[in-house]
Amino acid sequence: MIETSLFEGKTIRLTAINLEEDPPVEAEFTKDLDYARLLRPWPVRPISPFELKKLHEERIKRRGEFEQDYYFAVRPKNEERFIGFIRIPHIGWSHSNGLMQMAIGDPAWKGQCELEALNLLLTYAFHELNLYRLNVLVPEYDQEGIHLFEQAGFTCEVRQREILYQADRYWDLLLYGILSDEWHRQQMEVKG
Amino acid sequence: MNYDELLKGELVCLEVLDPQPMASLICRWNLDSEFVRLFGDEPPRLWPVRYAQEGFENHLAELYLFAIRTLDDPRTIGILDLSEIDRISHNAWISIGIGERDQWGKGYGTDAMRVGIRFGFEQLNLHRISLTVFEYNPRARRSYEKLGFKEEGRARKFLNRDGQRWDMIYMGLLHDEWIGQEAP
Repeated sequence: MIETSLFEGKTIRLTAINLEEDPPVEAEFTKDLDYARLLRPWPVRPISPFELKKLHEERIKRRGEFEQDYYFAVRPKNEERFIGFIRIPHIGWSHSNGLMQMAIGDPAWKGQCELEALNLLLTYAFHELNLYRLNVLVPEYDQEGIHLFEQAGFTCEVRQREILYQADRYWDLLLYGILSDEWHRQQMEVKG
Repeated sequence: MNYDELLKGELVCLEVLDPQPMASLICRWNLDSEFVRLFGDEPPRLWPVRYAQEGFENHLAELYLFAIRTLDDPRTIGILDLSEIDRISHNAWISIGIGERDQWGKGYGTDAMRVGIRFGFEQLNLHRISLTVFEYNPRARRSYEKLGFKEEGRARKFLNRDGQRWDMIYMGLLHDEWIGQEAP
């Protein structure tokens, strides 16, 4: 029934967080505020290794209580190095909806492995969590993100006008969504 | 400015929420399944009043929670809140529920929203106010449009009700748009 690992891609894999080794690496990534914002919306600034470790510990504790946050540390297939994360921090169970986030911070992998990680997460969301739809929020200036989610089959559904302020101006925030049947149809087409 | 004047509309006013009586009301309103389905996407939970009260008490410091009453009757008919206030982007989410059924369709919700929106823009310095409304709630949608909210898109088939899927409609109102329509 299950032929391949859910967590192994061609070049990367989804893993658990390493609370000792990963925070110092991730702290460097948070110098990009778009990365930092996904982990903690306030205060917006780079996050220290100590704070990151604490954030991850709190997240794991909450997960024990509410079974909410499905989090994966992304690593290269044959290395232990932390290169980013992908997760579903919120699920509305009664309507089978999930909200996802992803950030790859390692400069050597940025722009290289996002689609692969996203496809692993979509498989997990639809095969294991049995979600009906998955959402993601993308700022209008994030051209790579827009391209990525459109490539993966997401539809731009909502444009929240001027809801983000950064770099001296307001920006729109886009909500992208993909439905389970859209994703399954797409998988059939890929397989031919 | 006098707080009472600030929170007064033409038909209703907003009052500081008192956790104990509001908890009793919410527990009663939660028994009205139609109300719960119009008010939010979470399934109703039946808590002892004491727990509902603690829920309000624990969030008083971070939320702008108001009780709604008509100008000529001291009884609370609904609840309004401004939440998730973003300190940098100056956005907040507004939500409203009129729990007393016999008060529906009289314009009280729209009037309460007008007071809440004015408070958000004039006192909290918001740049925009956001809300979501369900596809199966056209009455609320019309009210929000009347207030100047613009539809910004729909999360398709977001809600599952009795085996049927419905869209979640996103709406937004910018401070500029509000000033534009409030001007004489």
